[in-house]
Amino acid sequence: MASFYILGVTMYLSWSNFNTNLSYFTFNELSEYSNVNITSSNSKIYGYLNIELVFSIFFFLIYFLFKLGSAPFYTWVVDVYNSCSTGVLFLVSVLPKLIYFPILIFLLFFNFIIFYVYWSNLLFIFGLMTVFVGSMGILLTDKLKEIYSWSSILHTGNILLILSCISLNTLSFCFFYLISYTILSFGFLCIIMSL
Amino acid sequence: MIMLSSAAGFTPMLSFFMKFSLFSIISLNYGIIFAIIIGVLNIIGSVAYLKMLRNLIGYNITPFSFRKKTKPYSPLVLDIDYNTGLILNILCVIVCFGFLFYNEFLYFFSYNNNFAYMDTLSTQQIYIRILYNE
Repeated sequence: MASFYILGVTMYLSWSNFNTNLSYFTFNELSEYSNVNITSSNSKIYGYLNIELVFSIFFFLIYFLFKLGSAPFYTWVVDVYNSCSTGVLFLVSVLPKLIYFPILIFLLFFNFIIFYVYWSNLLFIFGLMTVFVGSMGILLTDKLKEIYSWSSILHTGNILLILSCISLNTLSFCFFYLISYTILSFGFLCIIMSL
Repeated sequence: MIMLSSAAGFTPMLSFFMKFSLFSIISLNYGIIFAIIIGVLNIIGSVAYLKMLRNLIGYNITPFSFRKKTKPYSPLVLDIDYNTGLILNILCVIVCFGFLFYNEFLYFFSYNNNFAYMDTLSTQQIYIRILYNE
């Protein structure tokens, strides 16, 4: 995934973007360290509930939320989308969602479904925060790419809100939303590229 | 719900069904208050499409609507140095960790201390259906 960001930003290289790149990569590496916790406590999942497990659920959620650009880890999204060239914007915006959301869904709904009390509440809070930040951020900007980035944050929040609901329709609704978002953004970016 | 989703979805069909699925599942699980809050936020968010259209078509520049070409980021994007950003990120992680243990405030918005209005099935039955596809 990181190669896409390198591709996107090096095509539009300048000193300001170098700073953006550096901060993005360092924070991302920081968040990836939290993912180590999953492997360490994986053997204890089905036995009993302990504080390690709660920590690991929390930290892998943080890892995925950072990658997806959810609040309060959303600021890199605006920076990176702004510094990307328009041609790579589709890859940068849609591909992380298409990759990380299914992984998150399968982890939560097939491995950690027993501990829904923890992650469903967390996802609901993060989703609400993300929708609020995304919708308010749109009002404060005028740049096209920046508006697009806030819109993508808003969509991320909507998908997180769908995921936080435990029902029979959650998975189908979530995948329907993801595919529709992909088609919509593909159409929008095709319009921009054709101009 | 139909009014909310048609208002929030600017693009006619696909976006309408996206929002429809969102609002239907949220109103079933968390109740009508949260559905309205999220619906209003999405309506505000759909201003994005109008702004994108305005950007594509172009500004109607008058002496009263003159804007600088280079604008700074919005105040939501914190313009801070690296070390402060690092500390703030760690602080965010710690604060969000508190939500794990203090999630009772969510019940402030619901009545009967219950989110799930729809559950004719128990949650355990739902998990069984999801897991084993029964």
